[in-house]
Amino acid sequence: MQENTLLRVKGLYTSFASDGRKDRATAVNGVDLTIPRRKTVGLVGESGCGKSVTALSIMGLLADNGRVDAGKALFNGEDLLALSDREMRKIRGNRISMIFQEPMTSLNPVLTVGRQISEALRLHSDISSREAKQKCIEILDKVGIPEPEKRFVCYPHQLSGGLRQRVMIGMAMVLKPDLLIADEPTTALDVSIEAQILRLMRGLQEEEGTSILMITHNLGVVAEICDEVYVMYAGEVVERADVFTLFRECAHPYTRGLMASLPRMRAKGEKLYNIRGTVPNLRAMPAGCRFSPRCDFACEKCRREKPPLEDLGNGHLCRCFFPEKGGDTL
Amino acid sequence: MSELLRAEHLVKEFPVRGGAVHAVSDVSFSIEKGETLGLVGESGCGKSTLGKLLLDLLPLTSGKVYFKEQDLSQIHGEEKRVMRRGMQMIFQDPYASLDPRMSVGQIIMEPLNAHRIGKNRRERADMARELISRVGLRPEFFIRYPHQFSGGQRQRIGIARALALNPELIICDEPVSALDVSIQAQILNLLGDLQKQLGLTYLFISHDLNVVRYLSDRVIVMFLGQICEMAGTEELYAHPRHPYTRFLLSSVPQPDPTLRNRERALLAGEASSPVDPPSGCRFHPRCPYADTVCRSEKPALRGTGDGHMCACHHPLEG
Amino acid sequence: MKSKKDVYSAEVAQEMLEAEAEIQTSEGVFKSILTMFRRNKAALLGLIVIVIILLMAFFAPVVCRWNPTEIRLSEIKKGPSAEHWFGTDELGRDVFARVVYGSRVSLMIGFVPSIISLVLGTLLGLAAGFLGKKVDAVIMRLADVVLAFPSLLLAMVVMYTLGTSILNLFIALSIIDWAGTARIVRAQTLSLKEKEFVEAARSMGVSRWKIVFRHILPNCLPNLIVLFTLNIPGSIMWESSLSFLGVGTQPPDSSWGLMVSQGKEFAYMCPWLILAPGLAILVTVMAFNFLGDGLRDAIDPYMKT
Repeated sequence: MQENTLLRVKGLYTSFASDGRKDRATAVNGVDLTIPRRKTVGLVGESGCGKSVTALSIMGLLADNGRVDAGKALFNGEDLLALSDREMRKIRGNRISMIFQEPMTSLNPVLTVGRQISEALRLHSDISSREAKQKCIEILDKVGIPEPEKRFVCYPHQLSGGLRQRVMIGMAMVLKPDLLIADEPTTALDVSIEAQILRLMRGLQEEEGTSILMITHNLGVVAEICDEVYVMYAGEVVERADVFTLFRECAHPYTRGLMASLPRMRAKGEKLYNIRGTVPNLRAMPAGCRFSPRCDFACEKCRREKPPLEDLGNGHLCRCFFPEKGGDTL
Repeated sequence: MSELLRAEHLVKEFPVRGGAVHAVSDVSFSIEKGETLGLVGESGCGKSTLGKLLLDLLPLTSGKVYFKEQDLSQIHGEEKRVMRRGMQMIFQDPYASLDPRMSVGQIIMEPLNAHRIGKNRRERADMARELISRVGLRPEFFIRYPHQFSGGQRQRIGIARALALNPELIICDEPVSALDVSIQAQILNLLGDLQKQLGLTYLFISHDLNVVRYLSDRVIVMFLGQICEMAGTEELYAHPRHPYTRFLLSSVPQPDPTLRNRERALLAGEASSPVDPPSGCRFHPRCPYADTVCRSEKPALRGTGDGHMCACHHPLEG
Repeated sequence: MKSKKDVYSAEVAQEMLEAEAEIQTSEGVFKSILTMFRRNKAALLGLIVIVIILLMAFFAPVVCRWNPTEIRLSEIKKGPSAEHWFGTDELGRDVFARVVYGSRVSLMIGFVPSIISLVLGTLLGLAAGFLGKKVDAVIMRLADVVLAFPSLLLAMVVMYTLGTSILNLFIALSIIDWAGTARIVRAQTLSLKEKEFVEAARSMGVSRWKIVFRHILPNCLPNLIVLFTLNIPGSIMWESSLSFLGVGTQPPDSSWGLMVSQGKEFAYMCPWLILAPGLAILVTVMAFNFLGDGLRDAIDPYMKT
């Protein structure tokens, strides 16, 4: 078990300060997360649930007003959250790399694609610029960019969205990291390109043995690529299961609600299930179960006590007093 | 059913340096009263431009739009304004489509004021309150400002505004693509309810094939400014005839992990640009079945039975 | 419209009660200006100083013990004392009284050209942004010329040609300031014009004029307020420079700039003659700048959404 685990996040709490307010808003509230080697773990939830903040906390990339209040992130047994900025920089891009939703904002517009990748390469390994270029073209080829020699000297704006995301993936994979964190990597892309990117990521994983943390709101993407899934709601993990279990018999009312609100399962004219209301404000979290005000099954107990994350068997965890297996019968 | 809107040979070209963007090239179709017509395609295929052309938000390069048998290019001034009341739009971005400096009441009353509907301000305010509750918000929200609302609530306000003039046709331009899944379901249900209650007709523009499938009676698939396939929803999803449609359908990530190893159509090459669209069939550089005819001759949109239309020289078997 | 009974389907009613009850709390622009004053002490100080200066200018006869034009040859060039806070000048006039009364001219010269250029610049900017390419080209080339010309030189040319009077001073300073305002308003108009809410208004058949005055202008307003508060100190400075060079305010009117100019001959012996009006200029200009910066900080994040 131990040697199979690449990253183990324990009790992560992250909060944000905002202008002129003394109280901090807690965006991540005690998240535990395990990423096994060679696996793709999905982190799913709607906007504001804390999934991206979790990733940024692990990477040490929180904005200035953000702070990790407690928790550990053991990466190969080493606590990332205890490392200095300098030590962390050595790990970032090298052992762990990250790709984002909008590749244009994470690529430098005034440097050629080749320059950016080879710089990343030379920063972390001791090779000549010629070797770097060689490797760079290899990786561009590998991520499916046609005519890599030509693209090597292109500027980011000369590439289409799909190609840019491939470049980002190439840049992230060039040092063969142990972990790739992908934050909504396909959300800005068209479906046809999305499918290609997902296929590419799966292929790279099989080849290189990289673990992937896939952050997304799209259950379709989860079903396509993930092995295990964590569902987050309002800063907490509410359910965890392997992907087949989750889609067959998710147990938490929130997950069930999400599944049932997908239009594909329904015929025209039949109503979609909708989770009523909106995500609670970070500063005004409901007492007890955070989902209780929106839950169809909530009772007195739910509004009073916070349910623990309980194991329903085979590592299927669920934070609910009344878990009910059996998916989208809502 | 009767025809509510008919578009004939719509063309829109945006001049750019050294040529033109062929955003919409010779598109014809019609919308029946009471139906939901889905319009799908990837970014840059011209679907949003098409919606704006119908509403006269962009001038047509050529072509004609008939609304209730009336050629919109033939009427002007007040007559046109009155005719245009019958078509309204719901926008994609619930943050950008509401003026941040106007209260909810002012936003919804704006179309009423512009067309001098109702006897006086008071009557218009009452109408606005009724519209607010019709879309599932509280009438007290009348005096609040857009920034006090979440994305889903804002989209409801946008819907209320579109309903203010009692339109028959509503063009929905990606109305749920900026929303979270659970909120998306709320808005889709609301749109469905309103259609039932008010007998509305929708043109539903979206890139999300699952949403379009759920909502539409018929679907048009666009590629690089042209219609490549048009059919009843079930027919289209079950038996796509155009290689592009088939490819698109097989690309959608399905929320079912047991399907992840399903067979998928593959495409060759790079996406073409609407600035210099390929000759013949615009899909030919990417099509695995393309031959010499495809490279030189533009395929016409032909019926293949059951109202199923497809623009392909070699349509796939159902 | 159908009857209310139809409107409330059971589901909608339920949602109204529960789901939409939670409103996200965030601040409106005016509330955010208030919070800004609470947090940004410099802006608050600026506001207080401006209010004090305005009050002093308005109630000058009450504030001053001396008549600013009364010549008393027995009191020539006296340094600051309890009697004369800022001393007296070469004709024995009380400098404090002259500074207070001079503020009337200086403030008027701060406000009037700023208001004129604000109105002019806004109208021209809206026209340039909204009336199409030809109008745009004409107005913007004109603005380019004004902006490319050294402002002080331009103002001096105007003053020499038209003659020195306070009215001509207003004209000269308005000519300097309108171009900047017009440029900013034009840029905002162009970006607002493409916004979906303007498109929505067009799709509903709202007329062009209504779009300009109900959607575009109100959304430019916060920035215009900032620009206005920053133009005022600018005008005060220009007036000072022009008066110092002899083409600004003319005696018997007195402004701070003119006082510095007149005091320069005695600067060595009687430094208070230029320090007092100089300080008045400094404090006023800084107060307006602090206020303008504070307003900008408060408005900027709001304008981004």
